[in-house]
Order: sequence, then structure tokens, then C-alpha cells
Amino acid sequence: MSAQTSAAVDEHAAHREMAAAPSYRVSRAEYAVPDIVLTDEQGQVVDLHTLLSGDRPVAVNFIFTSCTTICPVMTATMLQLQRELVKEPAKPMFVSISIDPDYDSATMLSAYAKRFGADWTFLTGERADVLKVLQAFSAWRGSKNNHAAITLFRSVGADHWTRVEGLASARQLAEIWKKNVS
Amino acid sequence: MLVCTAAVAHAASVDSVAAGRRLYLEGLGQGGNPIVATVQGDVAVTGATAACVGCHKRSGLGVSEGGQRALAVTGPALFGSDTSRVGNLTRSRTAYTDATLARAISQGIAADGQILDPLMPRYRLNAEDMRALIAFLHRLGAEPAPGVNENELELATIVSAEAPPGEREAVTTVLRRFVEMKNGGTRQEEKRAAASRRHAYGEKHVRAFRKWKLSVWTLDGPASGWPAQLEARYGGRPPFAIISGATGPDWPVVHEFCERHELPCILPVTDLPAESAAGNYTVYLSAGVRLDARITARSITKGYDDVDGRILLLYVDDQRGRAAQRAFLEAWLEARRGSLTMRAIDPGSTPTYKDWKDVIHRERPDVLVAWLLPPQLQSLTSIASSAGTLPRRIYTAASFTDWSSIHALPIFEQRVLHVYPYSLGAAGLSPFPREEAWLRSQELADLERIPAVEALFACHAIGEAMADMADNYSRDYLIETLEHMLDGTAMTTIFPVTTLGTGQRFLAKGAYVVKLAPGQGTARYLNSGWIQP
Repeated sequence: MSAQTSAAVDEHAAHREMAAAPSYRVSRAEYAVPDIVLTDEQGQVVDLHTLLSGDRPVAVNFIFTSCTTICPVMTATMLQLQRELVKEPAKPMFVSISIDPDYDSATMLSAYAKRFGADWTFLTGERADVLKVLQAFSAWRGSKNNHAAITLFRSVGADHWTRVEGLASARQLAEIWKKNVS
Repeated sequence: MLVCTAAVAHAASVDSVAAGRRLYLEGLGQGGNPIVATVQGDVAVTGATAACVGCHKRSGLGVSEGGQRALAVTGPALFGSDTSRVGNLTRSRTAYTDATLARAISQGIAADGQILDPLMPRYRLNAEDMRALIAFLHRLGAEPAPGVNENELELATIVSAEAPPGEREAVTTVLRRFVEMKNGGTRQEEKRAAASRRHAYGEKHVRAFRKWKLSVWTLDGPASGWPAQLEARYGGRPPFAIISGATGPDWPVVHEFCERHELPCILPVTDLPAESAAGNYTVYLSAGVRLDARITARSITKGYDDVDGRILLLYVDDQRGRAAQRAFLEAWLEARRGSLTMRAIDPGSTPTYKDWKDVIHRERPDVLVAWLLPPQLQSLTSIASSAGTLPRRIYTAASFTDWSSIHALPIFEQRVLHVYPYSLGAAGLSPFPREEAWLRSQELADLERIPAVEALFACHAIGEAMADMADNYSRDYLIETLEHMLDGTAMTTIFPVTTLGTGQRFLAKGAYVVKLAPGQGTARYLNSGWIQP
């Protein structure tokens, strides 16, 4: 009974939400992409440097498949970002790097991608190699449960990255992309 | 109005609560449709991705992860008058009514009018689903957990004669001693806990103190009779959790029992856990023989280009041997390097020199995997005198063979690669310094080492988890706390690498492949490589 009465929509909720302080921070950063070989969700060997230095701008984030809190949200956001950017002249390349290589095999990553309908590259690798990658991008917090929501954008050939730390909406991410990436 | 709302909630039908539970756990509405929600303002999530359990967890006590906090949503946490001690709530919040809770779920507005973080999905539920979910939330965490009262926490361990006597003795002796010491009250824990309970600001971890009461359940006869014995013990006095345990190769029977009762089972000593990782309530040290098998297959197939190479797998034809063989075959089929022949050896037989020679001559393996009982392995080495017939590489595994029995086979040992998941100590030093210090101080150094160390770790894990949980005694919360706490834990030195996460149930996920040092000197191995399948 009470559930029904409350079903009326609060038309101002979205406005109040937008007025709240943003939950993310945008910065500019330079990272030396380590010369490391990882494995993608198909089990194929991938040279990280080559992958990220192609002729497409890139978006990178860090997830793990057994995370049930922020990673599913980040993956769903990435999926929606992909749709938001569909009309961009330069087609973005998305890459998700696992921060739990001990558990996230290629098979696990492939199942995870399928679950979300994500068609981009998911990477895992030897524990030590993945750690080096995470450290290079300043994305390691000592334990996977202490992970941070980090999204990185880079234009083709650029020497710097745009770093979004925290959770943002897909539209907010799309705006950041359009402002910073070409 | 409030009274009326509560009455409605409490009168909620069993069906409605079950439907709410399904929505909470699986993200499915009545009729089986995936629920739909919006997160972060504009990101659509549905079904399992949108299920409440992801953030608020099975216990409903919430989680802090990745700089984000999902608050407790148990019945007492949502509707209670003083919520400052529930789960991860640190201060009391305005109690919800069914109406304000429905508003929070659909629009993200808390009972006090504050806007909830955009990470909290805004759900589009029909009235029926909303009612079911709220009915379930009223019940979630509302009943006290079994096996715990204000003063005592009941734990049980489970052993059977199927486990080797040394293993059983190590487990029960360590557990009894640890509990005895914990209950010793050397820091006036009981007094402080009682005092803390009298004060609103009493420290949670002090208030949480309980004396541990340990029961040892000994199962008799064949495993087919265990379920009835387990039910009888459980019905008499259900414990809060099962701690460690040793029942030999039929541990899956205990696993099923624990799942049935949603009873946490923490770090049993077994190398044959239930095959499917599905299940919530048992946290294992490792996948045991199956881990050994996968590591062996990976070691053989990784960089192994000899497509004509012949692999011979000899395994003892018992539960452990067969489980290892199946896991090996599965892993080998993925990579398919060389040719594979497998041969089961009757556990009651010890093949003769001639038997082995026939097998080795016929198969002429380049790589031999020997998962055999000690006398069988001993007899296999009888052909080592004609060393020319021996394969280049021989794999043994910790679940089947210990170091000393390989060292006793000098010609063999030069070819052996031993799969070993535990920490390797430097020459002359203990590989498990932390645990051994305790065992020595308790004059228990004679116990069989690995099970003793594993049982002690189970004690530490539960002890630390309890302190972290404060007085939120929930069985699900114990599991959730361990999922976080045991990831990369320094609480034990038994494994070089430990990892765990939500739904992950095996703490050790890799093993060393060790080339042994000859002889019985202090150096046990020449070199080793770590493999993670």
C-alpha cells in the first residue's frame, strides 16, 4: 500500500543530483606505457605498447570480474560511452585491464565481456606484469578490494593522458572525451 | 500509520518474501523478468548487474570498496531506531518506513530527504516487485544468527577416520589449544565486553568478544552415512561456523551439508574439495589435487613444442587420483601438446619391476606424471637402475608425494619436477616461520606440519574476521569479511601468494614447480618457477 503511494516520481530529483558535487576528478597525466606482453580475452598475446599506440584514440579502465560493486557499473558505463561516441570521427578503442590476474583468466574475461555485451579488448597476464602496468598508470592501491575507479583517455600520438578518477555518468565521460581527445 | 505499515510488512506472505529475495539476489522480478535501473545518472543496468546483493551483499550489512560505501540494508538497519551499530553504519540514521524506502529505491532520496549517491541505482520496479523487495528487507538479518549468544560463540570442526590419523590429530590438537588460549581471558576480555555493552559508545571490537566453544564432530563409517550424522549433530546445537576439519577424500559430503544450512565452513584441510566452485559457504585453502593437476598440465604444455612427445600419466585409481586425472585431461585438451596415455593403478596393488618395465618400454614416455601411493612410487623406481629407460622428466605432486619420499629415490630425484603449492623456505630456514613459532611455543612442533599450520591459520582467519565484524554476528557477513580480508593476507606464511574476492573460494591459485636438490642436505631444491593456471 505504502509502496504504491510512493511510486509518484519526484520531478526534481535529477536536478538536485546534478547540483551535488561531482563524484569525479579530471586531470592530465603522462605515463610511460611499459613494454609488456599481456593476454586478451581470446587468449591471444598482446603487446600493450603496440596496442595502445595504434591509429585510434584509446579509453582504458581497470576492472576485475569478481567485483560486484563498482566494476559492473564501470563496464556498463563504458558500454554506454561507446554508444555516446558512435558519431565521433575517430573511432575510439576501448581496453579494460584486469587488476586480478590470479583469478581473471582469458576465459573468465571472455565470459565477463559476453555477460555485458562488451566487444572491446579485455587484458590479463602474469601477476608481476599486470602489477607493473597498474603501477605505470598509477592505478594500484595495494589490494584489488581497494581499487579505484579510473578511466584514461588518450588521443592518437599524444604524449599525455586525460585521467578521470571517480565514477561519472556516460554523458559526463563523453563530454570529457570530446573536450580532450581527437 | 507507522503501526499499520509495520503490520502490513510483517504479514507479508511467504511468497512475497521469496520473490523479494530473488529480486535482491538475482535481479529478477516476479514473472522472471530482469529488473531495470539507472546508475550514475544515465547508465542503464539490468538483471544480475542491478541486483542489490552486488553492493549490499547477502548479509545486507553492506561493504566498503573502491572508496565507495554501500550501507547496511538489513531490517534492523533500515527500520530500527538505533542503527549506529549495524554493519558499516557509524551513526544512527533516520529510520525508513515502507513508503520512504520505496522512494529511496526508486528515486534515490533517503528517509531524511538527502540524495543518495548516484552509485545507488534508481530502480524502476512495479508495485508488486517493490512490495516483495521491501517485505524481504524487513526479514533480512532480523533473526539472530544460530550458534551465538551474548557470551559464547559456538564453532565445530568435523573429522572422520577416513583422514590420516596424523592429519586429524594435528587439526583437533591445534584447534583445542587455540580455543583454550583464546578463552584464557588474559586481557580481561569478558569484563571489558560486559562493560562495553553497558555504554552507548563502548568499543565495537571489545563488545564483540565471545568465548569460543569448540565441538569436535567425529563422523563414523562410510560417507553415505554422514549426512544423517551431520544433521543429528546440527539439529542438537547448530554452530555459527565450521572451523577447519579433516575427513579425507569425502569432504564434498560436508560441503553439501554446509550449503544446505548456509553454514560457513572456513579453511578445511582437504585436497579434494567439492568439484564445482559453485556454493557460497565453504572457503578452501586450495583446489588441492585439481590445482596440482592443472599446474602439471600447464608446466608440461607451456612452451612444449615437441608435438610428437609422449606423455604418460600414471595415477592411483582412487577418488583423489581420478579427480586429478580428470582435471589434468581437461587442461591438457585445451593445449594439446604431444600425445597422452593414461593408466590407472589399483590402490590395493603394488606393481612389480616387470609390470613397470613393460609399461615404460611399451609407452616410452618423454614425460612421466606419477601420482601414486608411496609404495607404488617406491616400486616404480626399481626400474631406475636401468636409467636409460627412464623418461627425461618425471612430475610428482605435493598432494600425492612428500619431499622426503622423493629424496629417498636418488636416481629418480634428478629427473623430478615436484609441484608444490606451499611456501619454500630458504635453505635451513622454516618455510612457515609465523606458524612454527606458535607451534614451538605450545610444544606442538611434533604435529604433522602442514595440517597443523592450516588449522592454525583457520583459527587466525576466524579470529580476525570476528574482530572486524564487531558484533554483527551474521554467517554471510563472516564469509564476506573473509573474502576481503584474506586477499593478499599476511596472516599466514603457508602460501607465497594468497588471493580471494567475492565468490572466489580457493585461496591459493598457483604452485611452484620445483627441481629438487640431490641428497638430504639442508637445501631442498635447486630452483623453482611459480605457475598460475
